[in-house]
Amino acid sequence: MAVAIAVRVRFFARLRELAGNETESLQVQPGSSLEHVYDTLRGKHAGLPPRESVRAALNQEFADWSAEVANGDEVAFIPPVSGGRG
Amino acid sequence: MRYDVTMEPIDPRELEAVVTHTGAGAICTFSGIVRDSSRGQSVTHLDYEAYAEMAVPQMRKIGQEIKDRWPEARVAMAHRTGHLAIGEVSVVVAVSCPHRAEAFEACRWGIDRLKESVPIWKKEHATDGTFWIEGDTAKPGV
Repeated sequence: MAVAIAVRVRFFARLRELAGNETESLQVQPGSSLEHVYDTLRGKHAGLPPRESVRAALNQEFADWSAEVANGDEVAFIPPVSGGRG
Repeated sequence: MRYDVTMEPIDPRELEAVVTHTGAGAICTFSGIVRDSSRGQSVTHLDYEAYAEMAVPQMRKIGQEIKDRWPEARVAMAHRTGHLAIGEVSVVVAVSCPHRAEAFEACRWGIDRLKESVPIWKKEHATDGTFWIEGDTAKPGV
C-alpha cells in the first residue's frame, strides 16, 4: 500500500462557513484526483454543496476535476464568484 | 499595469494615473459601488472575501487577455476586501487606449471577466438576513 500524501485544503466564503474552517490538511492516496479529494471532504463535512456547483483550483490555478494532486499541493474549492448583475 | 486586492479604500483616479500616457487618447474606468438595495431589500453593508494569492494572478491573466485583443491597451485593476459601507468603491478597472471605441470595449471585457473568474466573494448584509452572492443567486450565510 502506497504511503499517503497530504494536501492543504482551503475553503472560502460560503464553503468556509459550511466546512467550519478555512484550511485543513487532508491525507489521500497518491494519484488521487481533485474529484476524489472533494468527495472525501464531503464525507467529512456533510453541508458542502455538490461538485457541480463548485470549481476546483490546484496550486492557485483553476483545474479540471480529473487533475491529480501531489504531496504538499494547495487545493481550493471555489463557489461561484460574486459576479451577477452587480 | 497594476493589479491589487486591498483592504484599503480604492481611488479610481489613482488607477487612471497608472494607465495614463501620452499615446492614450481615451481612458475608460469602471467603478463598482456598494448599492443600498438588493433583491428588493435594504442593504446595510457588504463583506468581500478574496483568495488573494489566486485573485491577483487571475487579474494579471485578464490584463494579458486584454493586451492580446487590444495590443495598445494599458490596464489597472483593484478590488477591495473586508467591510464596505454603502457608496464605497468595491472594484475598479481602468483601461487606456489610443481611441475611445477600444477603451470602452476593453474595459467592459475586463470587468466582465473579473466578475466571472477572479475568486472574490460578496456577503450581503440586508434587512432580511445575510447572504452570499453566488453569480445570480443569493444563499443564506451563517
